[in-house]
Amino acid sequence: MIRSILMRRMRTMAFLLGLFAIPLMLTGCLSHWFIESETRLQVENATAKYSILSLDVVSLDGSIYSSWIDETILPGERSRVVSADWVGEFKIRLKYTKSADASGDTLVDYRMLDFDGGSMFLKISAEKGSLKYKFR
Amino acid sequence: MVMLMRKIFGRALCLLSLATGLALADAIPAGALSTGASQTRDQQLREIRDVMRGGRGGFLDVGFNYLPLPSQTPLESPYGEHDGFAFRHHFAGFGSGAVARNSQLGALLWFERSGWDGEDFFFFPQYNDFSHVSSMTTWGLTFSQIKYDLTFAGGMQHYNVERVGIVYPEEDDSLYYSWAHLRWNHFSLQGNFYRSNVRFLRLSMDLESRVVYGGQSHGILTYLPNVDFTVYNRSVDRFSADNYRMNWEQNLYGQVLYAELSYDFPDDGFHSAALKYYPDPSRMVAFEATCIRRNKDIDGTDDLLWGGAIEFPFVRFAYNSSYEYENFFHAKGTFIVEFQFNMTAFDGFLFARGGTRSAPLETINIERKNKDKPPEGDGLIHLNPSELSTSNSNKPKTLEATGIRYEKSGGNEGGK
Repeated sequence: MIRSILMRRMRTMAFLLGLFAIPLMLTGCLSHWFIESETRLQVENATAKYSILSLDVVSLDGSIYSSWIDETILPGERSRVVSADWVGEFKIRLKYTKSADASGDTLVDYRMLDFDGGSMFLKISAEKGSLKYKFR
Repeated sequence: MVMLMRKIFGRALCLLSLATGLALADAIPAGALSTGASQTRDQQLREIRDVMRGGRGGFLDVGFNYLPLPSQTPLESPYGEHDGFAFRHHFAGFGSGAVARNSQLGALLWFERSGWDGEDFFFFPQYNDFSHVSSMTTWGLTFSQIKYDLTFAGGMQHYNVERVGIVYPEEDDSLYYSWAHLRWNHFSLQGNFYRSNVRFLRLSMDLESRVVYGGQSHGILTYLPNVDFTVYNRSVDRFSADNYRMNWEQNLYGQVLYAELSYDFPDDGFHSAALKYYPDPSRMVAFEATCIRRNKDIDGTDDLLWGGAIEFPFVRFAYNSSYEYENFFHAKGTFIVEFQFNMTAFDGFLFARGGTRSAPLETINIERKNKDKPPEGDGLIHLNPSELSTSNSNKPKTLEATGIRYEKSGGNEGGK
């Protein structure tokens, strides 16, 4: 008698688990509401005298790179928005010049940056000769 | 507004993951994804070996991993760590039927779709620049001669590449893998071939006595080991010379406590070990403590990874477990949930893969069947239930009056 009740309980449990599995299969669709799988990046050059030439993602050992923002950004200007699959923590290479008209020697700055995904606005400013990166 | 909501949700999720320690998960090396195919090939044939122990019956397996957070299985590429989801969906089926006296013909299909993608999905991946999505299908036909306890099985293995991102070596579909399996009694020989090259050969000796396959339920024969010995031909992909792996599964106590050891020859030495407790010999529930030596070529270290897992009929929880490390792209440092179910049917016994006795669920079933039998009566189907009580007490009378009753009921209902 107890066993038959147990059996019935197990059947109900199995049914509930099955029912639970259906919405679970849709988790992929649901998580897209709050998890971004691409980053739409816009860079602002907030320096007074530097010109930004490009922003690339480079491998940790520096041997390969993938270009992301390939556009000269003069002081006070903003780049176009470029979307890419970079979500996570990556090494960024910024090419810039110490001039307001993109002339002169190209300098390189490396940074590890965390991209959460979604629309990201990167403000690059200069303080006492070193570059500062800030997401807004 | 929607943006803001998303940001807030995202942040909340990050905090949650930090709070639960899931953000500390280690990344999956890209190399583990590009070498995943050979592991899947091996694992599927191992499972087929286990299911074919009886040579007939049926088997069903379905499972998929569930990871709620993209920080649980990030991808480690040369560029850094990518947030995303490793996934593994698998199903398998085998069924056989008698075609002649003592002869059984069967068919089997094993399928797995796995890899890494930027989005959580069930059917349609995002396919981004860093995705690795591929599937492996193993199918075959089986033939068993019951009189001589002999099984022959063979078929093909197809590897289908859906997407290989920019951080992996190039891969192509390969349709030319084939496999063969020969079993006699407790011994089996398995081969995996690419065109005419042998990729691996495995000799298995499943000496342990199992009730479900007509063996003993206790005694010295149940303590015999299950040993298999595999020769891998690595020279084909110019990766390394041949190497050998030996697996030893040993019943320690009453077919509920087992020890497993896996050892690589000639160079690598210890590969993995496990202590597994199955509260019931049907293996529907399992508690595992495992230890595995990490792959130096891919992970850069050959540290020992200690972990464990708990498996229930519909769900499995694992942390640093050797099964997940090997079959889920070296995932570690995070709790991994797998919704899974597998069941073998053999001569009316039901048990999980590798089980030695029938599941307790079924014993309940049998007892229930007996209890639910209608009360002892004259075996007739009574047209009128109210007659039931009288029929027992006045048996001779009822017998005498049968003809009249049939006439009456026939007249009223128009059936006879």
